[in-house]
Amino acid sequence: MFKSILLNSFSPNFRISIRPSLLRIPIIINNNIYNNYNNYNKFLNSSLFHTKISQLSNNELNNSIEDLENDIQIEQLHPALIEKAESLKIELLNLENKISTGYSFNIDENKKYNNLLSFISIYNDFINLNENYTELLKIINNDQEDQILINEAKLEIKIFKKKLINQTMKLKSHLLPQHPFANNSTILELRPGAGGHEANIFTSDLLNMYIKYCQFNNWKYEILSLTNHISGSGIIDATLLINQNGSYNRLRHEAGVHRVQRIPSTETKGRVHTSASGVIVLPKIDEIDNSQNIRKFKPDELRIDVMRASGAGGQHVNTTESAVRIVHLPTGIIVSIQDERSQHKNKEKAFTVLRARLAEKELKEKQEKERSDRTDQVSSVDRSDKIRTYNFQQNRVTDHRCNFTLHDLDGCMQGTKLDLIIDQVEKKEADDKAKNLIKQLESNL
Amino acid sequence: MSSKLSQMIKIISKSYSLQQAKQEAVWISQELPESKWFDACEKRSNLVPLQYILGNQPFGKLDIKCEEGVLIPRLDTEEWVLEATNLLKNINIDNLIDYCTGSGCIGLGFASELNNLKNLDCIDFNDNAINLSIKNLNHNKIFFKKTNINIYKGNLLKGFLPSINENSISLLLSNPPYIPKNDLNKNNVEESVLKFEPKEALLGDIEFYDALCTKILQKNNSFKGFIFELGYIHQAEIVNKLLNNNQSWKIGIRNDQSGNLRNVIGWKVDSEFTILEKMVHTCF
Repeated sequence: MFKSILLNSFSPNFRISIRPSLLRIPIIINNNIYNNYNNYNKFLNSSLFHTKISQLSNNELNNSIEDLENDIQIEQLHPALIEKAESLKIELLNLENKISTGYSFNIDENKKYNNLLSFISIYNDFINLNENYTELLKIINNDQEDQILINEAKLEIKIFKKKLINQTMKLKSHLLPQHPFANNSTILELRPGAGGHEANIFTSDLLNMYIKYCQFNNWKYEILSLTNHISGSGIIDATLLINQNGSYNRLRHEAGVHRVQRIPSTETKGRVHTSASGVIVLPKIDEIDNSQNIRKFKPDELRIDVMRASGAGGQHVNTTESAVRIVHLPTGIIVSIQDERSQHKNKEKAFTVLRARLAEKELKEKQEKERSDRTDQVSSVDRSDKIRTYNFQQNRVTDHRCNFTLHDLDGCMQGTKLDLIIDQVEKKEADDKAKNLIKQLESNL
Repeated sequence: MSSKLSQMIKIISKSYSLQQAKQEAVWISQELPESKWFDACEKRSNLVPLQYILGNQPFGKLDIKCEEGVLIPRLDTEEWVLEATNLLKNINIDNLIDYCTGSGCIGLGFASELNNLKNLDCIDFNDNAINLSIKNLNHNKIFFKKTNINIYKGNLLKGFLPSINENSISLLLSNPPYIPKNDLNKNNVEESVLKFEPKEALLGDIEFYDALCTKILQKNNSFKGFIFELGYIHQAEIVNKLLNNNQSWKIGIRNDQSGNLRNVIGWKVDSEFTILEKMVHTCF
């Protein structure tokens, strides 16, 4: 009986093909295997598997895991990427030559220099590791060598392999252009889509998922605004601020339409409904940020509406209505916040959301422009249409951008397994970007 | 939202709009223990101010405690306090004097926002106000590390003035009672205010502005600027009239975000308070 097994503890970025003789089952790990997860679950639950496992001693298990590690293939970097790394090295040398002639950098050059410096240290580590690894490989594959030496080399190569794999990943991600808001905090906006009241309830489930995800990651969060559905279950809209630098780089992959398929609690006849919820992910722009990016508003650019007390105001009335609405006239963006008792805090929150929405809008426009300037097609990851389906009956979450299915819906909704999905989307994006980069580099040759 | 909350909304919406009732029911459920929810909503539907029920009102970064017998800080007041402190943020001020301080929100609000304020004197003639402003001073004291704060019991109309060095730089603030007797009725004042807030914090007219000008501003040379809250143009005019025989004062009025006349503001032309001109809409 041959079954495919997914081992969660291994990064799915590498193809592994091993044949642990004791288990007598081929274990293949690659992206497509997730589809076989169901079979795997069935298999795991079968008594056959349990008896086999229990017959294995700890030592034997360790050995089989080592075998498995040995067979992880090291990803070969595309020559074009190596070339790019080399050209960055030359760039750094040029900058260093400039310094030695007594030239002093401006801010941008300084930034560039620091970035290059950290990149080159990663690249150099990679080269060293690669050389060591190849040397060891030579020893192992040389039949004339002393057997003791070969055994030592075999031991050592395991360590180098692990390091080299990590370093390759690191190098690859550093070669790819970084998202301009990669280091920002995040504002998540959730709104129900098609599907009536069930969509309101699902939106509230999604909000809980992101809150639990924040708790799981130890990220600080704050609900900026929340409007409950009048029935008491579900929400009409919610804005969640996640005060964690860099969280945007993870969560930006959550933007788009999330679809749910389940029997709603409101359904009396037991039929499965399909509803949807929209997630908007914005980069939080810090006002204290002293970079030039911070946007100043001209007075005629904004209209700020507050609840106007009728009559004379002042001591004559004591209003509790603290709602604030800001209209950004050039773009027509409207932000309303009413949750706080303090009007002034509502205003601050509204400005935070407005800045984030404007930043995202500008970025999107810039990307659109770059896209139309380029001839090649850009990955579908950017498209913010239906990105994911949560199917409760089948206990699965499927991400349509990378064709990845997680067969642990509860783990996803509890926030603990959401990372597994985001990892896959991130990997898809990185692969697509790498392909584009290679194409670009090749066409420049 | 539980069914309990919808019941609470129902009770409050007897007297207020559904939108407002929803928001207030949520705030009540967030700030009070569950055992007090229904009682609070009943009170609210009987027009008791929410701030007396919850016991506080946010004001800038402060949490101002509210008790019956003392005027509740208004959103319109918070607005000009934040506007002014934004302009005066880094200006050196030796003394800030706040008459009719009530809950203390204006003086304490300034002290919490200004970076270079040495001394703040809050003055009121009412014991409830004195007690409450002391509570608010202690309750928010993490925000007043740089400023020395005194609270005095004294009567503005009788010219009570703490001793101030004539060579220092002082700013005068006040939100005196400004609703004239003829206007203190249902047609001009919200019913909840009439029923539950202290009359003596509301009923007043030019006598207070007269006292502020003749018994305070003109009695001490250290005053280089002032901001008074008011509700009527004749109150601003009396201030202008009393001070404009002295050419060194520049005086203007400010409207609030609802477009209502809210402040009369003045500054000595050779002082740093000239920056207050930025919040003035029309100069006399």
